[in-house]
Amino acid sequence: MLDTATRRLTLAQQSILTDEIRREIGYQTEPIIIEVDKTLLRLFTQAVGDINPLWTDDAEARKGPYGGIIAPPSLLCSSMATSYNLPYAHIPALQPMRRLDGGGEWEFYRPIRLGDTITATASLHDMTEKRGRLGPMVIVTSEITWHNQRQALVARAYTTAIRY
Amino acid sequence: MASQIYYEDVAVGNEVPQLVKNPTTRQLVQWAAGSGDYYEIHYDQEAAHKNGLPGVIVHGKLKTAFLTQMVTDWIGKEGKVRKLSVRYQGMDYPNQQLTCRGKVTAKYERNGEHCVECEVWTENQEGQKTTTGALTVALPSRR
Repeated sequence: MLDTATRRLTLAQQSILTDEIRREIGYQTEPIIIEVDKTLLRLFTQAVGDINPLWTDDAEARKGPYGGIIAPPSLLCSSMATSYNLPYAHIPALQPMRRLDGGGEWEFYRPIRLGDTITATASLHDMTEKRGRLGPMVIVTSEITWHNQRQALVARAYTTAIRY
Repeated sequence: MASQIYYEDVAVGNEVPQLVKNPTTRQLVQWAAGSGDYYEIHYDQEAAHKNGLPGVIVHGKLKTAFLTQMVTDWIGKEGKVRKLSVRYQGMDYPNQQLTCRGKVTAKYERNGEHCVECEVWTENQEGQKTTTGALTVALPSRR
Protein backbone atom coordinates (compact mmCIF):
# COMPACT_ATOMS: atom_id res chain seq x y z
CA MET A 1 0.00 0.00 0.00
CA LEU A 2 1.50 3.31 -1.05
CA ASP A 3 1.22 6.29 1.22
CA THR A 4 -0.81 9.20 -0.11
CA ALA A 5 2.17 11.37 -1.08
CA THR A 6 3.81 8.58 -3.06
CA ARG A 7 0.56 7.67 -4.70
CA ARG A 8 -0.05 11.26 -5.70
CA LEU A 9 3.45 11.48 -7.15
CA THR A 10 2.89 8.27 -9.07
CA LEU A 11 -0.44 9.55 -10.36
CA ALA A 12 1.21 12.80 -11.43
CA GLN A 13 3.62 10.96 -13.71
CA GLN A 14 1.23 8.54 -15.36
CA SER A 15 -1.65 8.73 -17.71
CA ILE A 16 -4.73 7.35 -16.00
CA LEU A 17 -6.81 6.59 -19.03
CA THR A 18 -5.17 3.54 -20.52
CA ASP A 19 -6.81 1.76 -23.46
CA GLU A 20 -8.01 -0.87 -21.02
CA ILE A 21 -9.85 1.76 -18.98
CA ARG A 22 -11.22 3.50 -22.08
CA ARG A 23 -12.87 0.23 -23.06
CA GLU A 24 -15.14 0.70 -20.03
CA ILE A 25 -16.96 3.53 -21.85
CA GLY A 26 -20.48 2.26 -22.38
CA TYR A 27 -20.48 0.21 -19.17
CA GLN A 28 -23.98 0.13 -17.74
CA THR A 29 -24.91 -0.31 -14.10
CA GLU A 30 -27.57 -2.57 -12.70
CA PRO A 31 -30.77 -0.52 -12.52
CA ILE A 32 -31.69 1.12 -9.24
CA ILE A 33 -35.31 1.16 -8.13
CA ILE A 34 -36.70 4.27 -6.44
CA GLU A 35 -40.09 3.95 -4.79
CA VAL A 36 -41.53 7.45 -4.70
CA ASP A 37 -43.45 7.48 -1.44
CA LYS A 38 -44.33 10.23 1.00
CA THR A 39 -41.43 9.44 3.29
CA LEU A 40 -38.91 9.86 0.49
CA LEU A 41 -40.52 13.12 -0.65
CA ARG A 42 -40.65 14.44 2.91
CA LEU A 43 -36.96 13.67 3.53
CA PHE A 44 -36.03 15.27 0.23
CA THR A 45 -38.19 18.40 0.38
CA GLN A 46 -37.27 19.06 4.02
CA ALA A 47 -33.60 18.79 3.11
CA VAL A 48 -34.06 21.45 0.43
CA GLY A 49 -36.49 23.52 2.47
CA ASP A 50 -38.97 23.44 -0.39
CA ILE A 51 -42.61 23.51 0.69
CA ASN A 52 -44.18 23.84 -2.75
CA PRO A 53 -47.72 22.38 -2.38
CA LEU A 54 -47.25 20.34 -5.57
CA TRP A 55 -44.85 18.08 -3.63
CA THR A 56 -45.98 18.54 -0.05
CA ASP A 57 -49.75 19.14 0.17
CA ASP A 58 -52.26 16.47 -0.89
CA ALA A 59 -55.30 18.74 -0.95
CA GLU A 60 -53.61 21.58 -2.85
CA ALA A 61 -51.85 19.24 -5.29
CA ARG A 62 -55.16 17.51 -6.04
CA LYS A 63 -56.53 20.85 -7.33
CA GLY A 64 -53.49 21.31 -9.58
CA PRO A 65 -52.79 20.06 -13.10
CA TYR A 66 -51.58 16.61 -11.99
CA GLY A 67 -54.49 15.77 -9.72
CA GLY A 68 -52.12 14.82 -6.94
CA ILE A 69 -48.63 15.12 -5.51
CA ILE A 70 -45.65 14.95 -7.86
CA ALA A 71 -41.93 14.89 -7.08
CA PRO A 72 -39.89 18.06 -7.54
CA PRO A 73 -37.71 17.81 -10.66
CA SER A 74 -34.62 18.24 -8.50
CA LEU A 75 -35.32 14.82 -6.96
CA LEU A 76 -33.41 13.55 -9.99
CA CYS A 77 -30.52 15.87 -9.17
CA SER A 78 -30.03 14.03 -5.92
CA SER A 79 -27.40 11.35 -5.87
CA MET A 80 -29.89 8.81 -4.65
CA ALA A 81 -30.31 7.35 -8.10
CA THR A 82 -26.61 7.05 -8.82
CA SER A 83 -24.12 7.63 -6.05
CA TYR A 84 -24.07 4.09 -4.73
CA ASN A 85 -24.03 2.71 -8.24
CA LEU A 86 -21.72 4.97 -10.23
CA PRO A 87 -20.85 3.52 -13.64
CA TYR A 88 -17.14 3.96 -12.87
CA ALA A 89 -17.09 2.66 -9.29
CA HIS A 90 -15.60 -0.61 -10.58
CA ILE A 91 -12.54 1.07 -12.16
CA PRO A 92 -9.78 0.79 -9.53
CA ALA A 93 -7.52 3.45 -11.12
CA LEU A 94 -10.14 6.16 -10.46
CA GLN A 95 -10.85 5.21 -6.87
CA PRO A 96 -7.82 6.66 -5.04
CA MET A 97 -8.48 10.02 -6.67
CA ARG A 98 -10.34 12.87 -5.03
CA ARG A 99 -13.62 13.79 -6.59
CA LEU A 100 -15.69 16.87 -7.29
CA ASP A 101 -19.12 17.22 -8.79
CA GLY A 102 -18.78 19.01 -12.12
CA GLY A 103 -22.47 19.63 -12.73
CA GLY A 104 -24.67 18.27 -15.48
CA GLU A 105 -27.67 18.61 -17.75
CA TRP A 106 -31.11 17.17 -17.21
CA GLU A 107 -34.09 16.90 -19.50
CA PHE A 108 -37.52 16.17 -18.02
CA TYR A 109 -40.17 14.49 -20.16
CA ARG A 110 -42.86 13.38 -17.71
CA PRO A 111 -43.78 14.15 -14.14
CA ILE A 112 -42.95 11.67 -11.38
CA ARG A 113 -46.09 11.03 -9.35
CA LEU A 114 -46.42 9.96 -5.77
CA GLY A 115 -46.56 6.16 -5.80
CA ASP A 116 -44.46 5.77 -8.97
CA THR A 117 -41.68 3.21 -9.13
CA ILE A 118 -38.76 4.74 -10.96
CA THR A 119 -35.93 2.73 -12.46
CA ALA A 120 -32.64 4.57 -12.87
CA THR A 121 -29.89 3.27 -15.11
CA ALA A 122 -26.49 4.87 -15.40
CA SER A 123 -23.89 4.28 -18.06
CA LEU A 124 -20.36 5.51 -18.50
CA HIS A 125 -20.75 8.00 -21.34
CA ASP A 126 -17.26 9.44 -21.67
CA MET A 127 -13.92 9.96 -19.94
CA THR A 128 -11.33 12.60 -20.77
CA GLU A 129 -8.03 13.31 -19.10
CA LYS A 130 -6.56 16.74 -18.47
CA ARG A 131 -3.48 17.87 -16.66
CA GLY A 132 -4.37 19.96 -13.63
CA ARG A 133 -2.31 21.79 -11.06
CA LEU A 134 -2.31 18.67 -8.86
CA GLY A 135 -1.49 16.22 -11.65
CA PRO A 136 -3.82 14.37 -13.98
CA MET A 137 -7.53 15.04 -13.85
CA VAL A 138 -10.15 12.72 -15.27
CA ILE A 139 -13.51 14.11 -16.28
CA VAL A 140 -16.13 11.38 -16.25
CA THR A 141 -19.54 11.85 -17.84
CA SER A 142 -22.37 9.51 -16.92
CA GLU A 143 -25.64 9.21 -18.77
CA ILE A 144 -28.58 8.47 -16.51
CA THR A 145 -32.08 7.59 -17.63
CA TRP A 146 -35.16 7.23 -15.48
CA HIS A 147 -38.22 5.22 -16.47
CA ASN A 148 -41.48 4.83 -14.60
CA GLN A 149 -43.41 1.60 -13.92
CA ARG A 150 -45.10 1.94 -17.33
CA GLN A 151 -41.63 1.90 -18.97
CA ALA A 152 -42.10 5.51 -20.07
CA LEU A 153 -38.98 7.67 -20.16
CA VAL A 154 -39.27 10.24 -17.38
CA ALA A 155 -35.94 12.06 -17.64
CA ARG A 156 -32.41 11.82 -18.95
CA ALA A 157 -29.26 13.43 -17.59
CA TYR A 158 -25.58 13.75 -18.38
CA THR A 159 -23.64 14.40 -15.21
CA THR A 160 -19.97 15.18 -14.83
CA ALA A 161 -17.58 14.10 -12.08
CA ILE A 162 -14.03 15.37 -11.80
CA ARG A 163 -11.43 12.98 -10.40
CA TYR A 164 -8.12 14.56 -9.50
CA MET B 1 -46.97 30.59 -3.70
CA ALA B 2 -47.66 33.64 -5.86
CA SER B 3 -50.46 33.67 -8.42
CA GLN B 4 -49.93 31.80 -11.70
CA ILE B 5 -47.55 33.42 -14.17
CA TYR B 6 -48.30 33.14 -17.90
CA TYR B 7 -46.07 33.10 -20.96
CA GLU B 8 -47.39 36.51 -21.99
CA ASP B 9 -46.36 38.00 -18.62
CA VAL B 10 -42.69 37.25 -19.21
CA ALA B 11 -40.20 39.33 -21.19
CA VAL B 12 -36.55 38.69 -21.99
CA GLY B 13 -34.46 40.44 -19.36
CA ASN B 14 -37.01 39.94 -16.56
CA GLU B 15 -35.54 38.76 -13.30
CA VAL B 16 -36.73 35.64 -11.56
CA PRO B 17 -37.70 36.48 -7.95
CA GLN B 18 -34.61 35.62 -5.92
CA LEU B 19 -34.46 32.91 -3.28
CA VAL B 20 -32.17 33.38 -0.28
CA LYS B 21 -30.83 30.33 1.54
CA ASN B 22 -28.66 29.95 4.62
CA PRO B 23 -27.52 26.36 4.52
CA THR B 24 -26.42 25.10 7.94
CA THR B 25 -24.36 22.00 8.68
CA ARG B 26 -27.65 20.46 9.81
CA GLN B 27 -29.11 21.09 6.37
CA LEU B 28 -26.08 19.45 4.74
CA VAL B 29 -26.66 16.35 6.85
CA GLN B 30 -30.35 16.43 5.94
CA TRP B 31 -29.37 16.63 2.28
CA ALA B 32 -26.96 13.71 2.71
CA ALA B 33 -29.86 11.62 4.02
CA GLY B 34 -32.48 12.98 1.63
CA SER B 35 -30.31 12.65 -1.46
CA GLY B 36 -28.10 9.70 -0.63
CA ASP B 37 -24.82 11.60 -1.01
CA TYR B 38 -22.68 10.56 1.94
CA TYR B 39 -19.36 11.93 0.66
CA GLU B 40 -17.52 12.93 3.85
CA ILE B 41 -16.32 16.35 2.63
CA HIS B 42 -19.85 17.61 3.31
CA TYR B 43 -20.00 16.81 7.04
CA ASP B 44 -16.57 15.71 8.31
CA GLN B 45 -14.11 18.60 8.80
CA GLU B 46 -11.12 16.27 8.91
CA ALA B 47 -12.10 14.64 5.63
CA ALA B 48 -12.60 18.08 4.10
CA HIS B 49 -9.12 19.18 5.24
CA LYS B 50 -7.57 15.99 3.85
CA ASN B 51 -9.12 16.89 0.52
CA GLY B 52 -7.46 20.27 0.57
CA LEU B 53 -10.61 22.17 1.52
CA PRO B 54 -10.75 24.81 4.25
CA GLY B 55 -13.81 23.08 5.73
CA VAL B 56 -16.95 21.17 4.83
CA ILE B 57 -18.63 22.45 1.68
CA VAL B 58 -22.21 22.70 0.48
CA HIS B 59 -23.18 19.87 -1.90
CA GLY B 60 -23.28 21.07 -5.50
CA LYS B 61 -26.54 19.25 -6.08
CA LEU B 62 -28.15 20.96 -3.10
CA LYS B 63 -27.35 24.27 -4.81
CA THR B 64 -28.94 22.84 -7.96
CA ALA B 65 -32.03 21.95 -5.93
CA PHE B 66 -32.12 25.54 -4.56
CA LEU B 67 -31.94 26.98 -8.08
CA THR B 68 -34.70 24.64 -9.22
CA GLN B 69 -36.81 25.64 -6.20
CA MET B 70 -36.41 29.31 -7.11
CA VAL B 71 -37.76 28.55 -10.58
CA THR B 72 -40.59 26.20 -9.53
CA ASP B 73 -41.70 28.82 -6.96
CA TRP B 74 -41.84 31.33 -9.82
CA ILE B 75 -43.58 29.24 -12.51
CA GLY B 76 -46.42 28.12 -10.24
CA LYS B 77 -48.48 24.96 -10.42
CA GLU B 78 -49.05 25.15 -14.17
CA GLY B 79 -45.41 25.66 -15.12
CA LYS B 80 -43.19 22.72 -16.01
CA VAL B 81 -39.42 22.39 -15.81
CA ARG B 82 -38.19 20.98 -19.12
CA LYS B 83 -34.41 21.37 -18.97
CA LEU B 84 -31.80 22.15 -16.41
CA SER B 85 -28.05 22.56 -16.64
CA VAL B 86 -25.56 23.55 -13.97
CA ARG B 87 -21.86 24.05 -13.57
CA TYR B 88 -20.15 24.58 -10.24
CA GLN B 89 -17.81 27.56 -10.30
CA GLY B 90 -16.81 27.81 -6.67
CA MET B 91 -17.19 26.27 -3.25
CA ASP B 92 -19.85 27.38 -0.80
CA TYR B 93 -19.59 26.88 2.94
CA PRO B 94 -22.30 26.32 5.54
CA ASN B 95 -23.61 29.23 7.60
CA GLN B 96 -23.01 31.65 4.74
CA GLN B 97 -25.84 33.25 2.86
CA LEU B 98 -26.44 31.92 -0.62
CA THR B 99 -28.66 33.90 -2.99
CA CYS B 100 -30.28 32.20 -5.98
CA ARG B 101 -30.93 34.52 -8.89
CA GLY B 102 -32.12 34.24 -12.46
CA LYS B 103 -32.93 36.19 -15.56
CA VAL B 104 -35.05 35.40 -18.63
CA THR B 105 -32.85 34.99 -21.71
CA ALA B 106 -35.30 33.71 -24.36
CA LYS B 107 -38.94 32.85 -24.98
CA TYR B 108 -40.40 30.88 -27.88
CA GLU B 109 -43.04 28.36 -28.85
CA ARG B 110 -41.89 24.82 -29.56
CA ASN B 111 -43.82 21.58 -29.99
CA GLY B 112 -46.99 23.34 -28.87
CA GLU B 113 -45.35 24.52 -25.64
CA HIS B 114 -44.63 28.07 -24.53
CA CYS B 115 -41.01 27.89 -23.47
CA VAL B 116 -39.01 30.34 -21.41
CA GLU B 117 -35.26 30.05 -20.90
CA CYS B 118 -33.55 31.55 -17.88
CA GLU B 119 -29.97 31.84 -16.86
CA VAL B 120 -29.64 31.07 -13.17
CA TRP B 121 -26.87 31.36 -10.66
CA THR B 122 -26.04 31.30 -6.96
CA GLU B 123 -24.19 34.20 -5.40
CA ASN B 124 -22.17 34.02 -2.21
CA GLN B 125 -21.93 36.80 0.39
CA GLU B 126 -19.15 38.45 -1.63
CA GLY B 127 -21.40 38.56 -4.69
CA GLN B 128 -19.35 35.91 -6.54
CA LYS B 129 -21.22 33.47 -8.76
CA THR B 130 -20.53 30.02 -7.31
CA THR B 131 -22.94 28.05 -9.48
CA THR B 132 -24.12 28.96 -12.97
CA GLY B 133 -26.72 27.27 -15.07
CA ALA B 134 -29.88 27.50 -17.11
CA LEU B 135 -33.43 26.28 -16.86
CA THR B 136 -35.99 25.95 -19.60
CA VAL B 137 -39.61 25.93 -18.49
CA ALA B 138 -42.96 25.61 -20.23
CA LEU B 139 -45.56 28.12 -19.07
CA PRO B 140 -49.32 28.25 -19.63
CA SER B 141 -50.54 30.76 -22.21
CA ARG B 142 -53.50 33.15 -21.90
CA ARG B 143 -54.31 32.67 -25.57
